[in-house]
Amino acid sequence: MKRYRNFGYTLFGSSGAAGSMLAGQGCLGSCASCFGCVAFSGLLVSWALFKAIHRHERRDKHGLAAADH
Amino acid sequence: MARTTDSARRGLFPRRSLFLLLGLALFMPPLVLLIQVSTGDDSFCGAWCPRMFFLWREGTTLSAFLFGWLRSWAGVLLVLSIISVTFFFGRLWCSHLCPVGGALELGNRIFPRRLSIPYASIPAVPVRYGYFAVYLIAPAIGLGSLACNYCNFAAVPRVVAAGFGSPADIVYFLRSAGIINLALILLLGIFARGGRAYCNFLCPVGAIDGLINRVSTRFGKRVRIDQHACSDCGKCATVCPTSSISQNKVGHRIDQLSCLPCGKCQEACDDQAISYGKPVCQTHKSANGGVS
Repeated sequence: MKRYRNFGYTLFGSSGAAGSMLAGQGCLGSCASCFGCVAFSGLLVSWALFKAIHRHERRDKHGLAAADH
Repeated sequence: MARTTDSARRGLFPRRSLFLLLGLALFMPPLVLLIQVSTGDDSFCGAWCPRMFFLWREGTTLSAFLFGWLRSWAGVLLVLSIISVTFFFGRLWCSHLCPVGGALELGNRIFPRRLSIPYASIPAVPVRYGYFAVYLIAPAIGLGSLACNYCNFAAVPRVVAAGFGSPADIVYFLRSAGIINLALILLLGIFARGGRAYCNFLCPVGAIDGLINRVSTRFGKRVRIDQHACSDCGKCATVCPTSSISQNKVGHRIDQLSCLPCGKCQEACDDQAISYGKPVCQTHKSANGGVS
């Protein structure tokens, strides 16, 4: 299970990197001020923040946050 | 490994803040002492760039690739020095001198810990090497490059320069690339618990450094846990800025892919089970009871 979880996070890291890069490149020389690149990066960061804080709080509720690493 | 003496413990880690400030003076605007003295540049972009020379781009000839190394000669020397130091002494560059990680960590120290973002529940190693794989592969297959878009070696000095009123740097943070970089600096740096989430998740130099740190664990000095002295209280894990200490069936262990020898775990350990040193030889290990 842990292996699949780690694979999921590897996909998250690589797809986040690729997506942000491609979004940034699409805007080079043709920026329409849509802030799509900001929105895409913002979505990824928001998801990461949600996962981090939500899981920490959940573990905190069960007294496990001290060992949450 | 024999436990280090008290004087050895005091010798390396309590002066870390001074080393971080030295790193800022050497590499960060407005001083950039080392950069200006050696090349006349005022930033890491140029001869000091440590993040681009090792990238192979689609269609690049070998001579052009090697010319890139010559153009970034100071960055090449910097990365080779970092790797050499890491091999023998652990990631001292990242923990003690890196101006980018140091600036974020020092900034984080004035941010309330209870409001900081706990990234410990997100495993850093798969995210980091997933990002790093794209960092290496994308230019090689002609997709593009991540080297400059989200470069913390460019963005963090720009924040400092903007703070000192540089108009060009202030304008940079009004553009989308600047906004994204500023958000990353804040969310993964200053607002992150420990201030090292950017180093832990996204820094390519840190990814290389982590690999060297891991493969040379048996040869060099590292932060290590004495399993027999450890009481499994978990204090070390809660203070670790890179979330590199975890618990398994045997006890607590340190992931050398992520560990920076910052010494926070050592300071937090009441059992003095954590030390910085070389691995113990087999006879010494059996005499002392064993060290992870």
